[in-house]
Amino acid sequence: MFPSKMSSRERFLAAINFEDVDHIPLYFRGSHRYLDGERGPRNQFEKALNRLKFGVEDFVGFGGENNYHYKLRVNEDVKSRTRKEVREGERYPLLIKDYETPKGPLKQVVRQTIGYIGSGPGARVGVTGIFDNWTHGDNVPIFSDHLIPKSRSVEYLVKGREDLEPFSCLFRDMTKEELNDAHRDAEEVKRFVEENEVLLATWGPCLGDAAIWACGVEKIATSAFKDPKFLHGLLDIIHDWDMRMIRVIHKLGGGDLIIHRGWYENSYFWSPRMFREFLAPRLKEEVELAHQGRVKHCMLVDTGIMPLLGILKETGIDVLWGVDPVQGGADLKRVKEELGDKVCLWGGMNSAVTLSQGTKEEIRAAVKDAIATLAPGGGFVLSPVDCLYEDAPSENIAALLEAWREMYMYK
Amino acid sequence: MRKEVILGKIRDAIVNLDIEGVQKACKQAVEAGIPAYEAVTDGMSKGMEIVGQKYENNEYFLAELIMAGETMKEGMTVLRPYLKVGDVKTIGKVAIGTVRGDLHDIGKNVVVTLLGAAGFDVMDLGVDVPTEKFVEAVKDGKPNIVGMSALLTTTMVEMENVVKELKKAGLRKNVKIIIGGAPITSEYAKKIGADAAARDAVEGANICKSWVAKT
Repeated sequence: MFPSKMSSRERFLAAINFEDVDHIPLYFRGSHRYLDGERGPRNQFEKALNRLKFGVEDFVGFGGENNYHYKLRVNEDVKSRTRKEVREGERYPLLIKDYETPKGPLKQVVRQTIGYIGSGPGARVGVTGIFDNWTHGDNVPIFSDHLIPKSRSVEYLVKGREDLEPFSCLFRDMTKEELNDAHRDAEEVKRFVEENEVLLATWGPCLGDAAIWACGVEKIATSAFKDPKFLHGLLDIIHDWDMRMIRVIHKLGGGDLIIHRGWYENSYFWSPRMFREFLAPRLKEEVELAHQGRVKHCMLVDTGIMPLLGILKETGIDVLWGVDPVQGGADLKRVKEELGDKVCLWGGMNSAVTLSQGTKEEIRAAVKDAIATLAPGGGFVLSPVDCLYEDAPSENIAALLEAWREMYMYK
Repeated sequence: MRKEVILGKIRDAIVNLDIEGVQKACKQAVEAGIPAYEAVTDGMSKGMEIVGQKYENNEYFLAELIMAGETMKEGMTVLRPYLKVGDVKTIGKVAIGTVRGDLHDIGKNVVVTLLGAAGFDVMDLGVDVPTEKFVEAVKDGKPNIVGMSALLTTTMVEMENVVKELKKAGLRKNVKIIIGGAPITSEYAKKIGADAAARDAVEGANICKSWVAKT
């Protein structure tokens, strides 16, 4: 019989704190028609309620998942202008954004790429809304995953040392009015958490990811060797902004967890030497600041983690989210051995390949392996990494739930 | 300075990711009258080979591969004016691109660098490459190998379309097909009729080298 004596929040916190759980927590990032219906959840609250109906975990946070947009405020004395150009030889229109800051100009140029609907010879050109398409319309955000490919970013926002001071002008603190609005939103979140007993976890820092958005992967890689001062300068600006965000989270009430989004802070883009020199010291400061506000720190990185395990442990993170044995190359046994006594491990199985494309037997085997390897001793949250994909068959989600309900606890 | 010493300096500069060093050593090679193609094959390519080995030994990572590619590019800037057509014998030809609907190319670009360093003639088709363009590249360019990259599960399906269209055009038997990217597995390669899946750029280049070595 599947035991369920704890609230979702209690269970999640017990896992994070290495305390006993009634059953292994299961979390799904993203939405899927099987869990959320065809329309999908309107907001994080609706999503959490949908999840609780299935007996799985969820969390809500200040500002929702994409709150780096929410929190990013450009200084009033920074002027910007975006124009669209169609150039000969260019397949897509170009969006050119010019900034005038008190410390000089900045310029960013992107291709407004549109993708295809369908595949094969019958594919039609159109905006599909899938990840790969430019989804910002005629706007060019400062930070977005869509800026990363060089084939889309003709000119990155930060190209060299001359751009650092102007770049630093872009970020300002919330005004009193904005902070009051944020407090009102936060009260709604806290009320929901209290009524429904779900975890309060807020998306926060994005240090290395933001650096890559700002200047591209190749610039990060070559700067680490050719111009480390530039890279330190860029990261200092972002880190300062991240730390200010953590202080805002504390002011709003803190919560249970701060999530550092580090999808690109993996050993593919940041070799261990680079991670140790450029990211780890700043990550450690984040963790210390989070802890000062009695909030735990979660690092989300879902691939290339194996060479970084020791460094991650040294930073003091409380949770590692993204342990993926398939696309992420995670050796579950080694991760548990090296981190599992101090760091709560969140993941254990893959989504895009195993859950979306696997057979029922493969999914069951993945659940079994994850639980058997990562759960003993506590500190484990089962989760298909990194999110649900709409092309995952509903019967596969059902198979995962069935396997989890059968194998709910390590023996 | 002896030829072997200069070629060794070029090789070491690549391995040490030393742009200034490779530019200096390549200039020395030119001044010493060393044929530019020897500086490429016996200096830079040897260096890239060692870089690949360091990657396989987990001493180097993608960032180092990118920097090595950049270092080699700077060396080639010095040597290119002295390279004559037909100087460098190629070991094979590869047509490579990121499939339709996908713009990601970091891994693909590293493969291009490694393949070029290994002596392949590389047709880099770019990103968002329609199926028809892959087929055209095989028909017109006559490569030994077709390489396809995809980062997304929504775009990897295009790889199967390319394989099908090559079969339809009667061209499948003319090429080996290698695929790579985050969602790609050897099971997927088998399923769609590709010849191999590579876990990363270095493995991809090694597989291509092994294929031409057998022919």
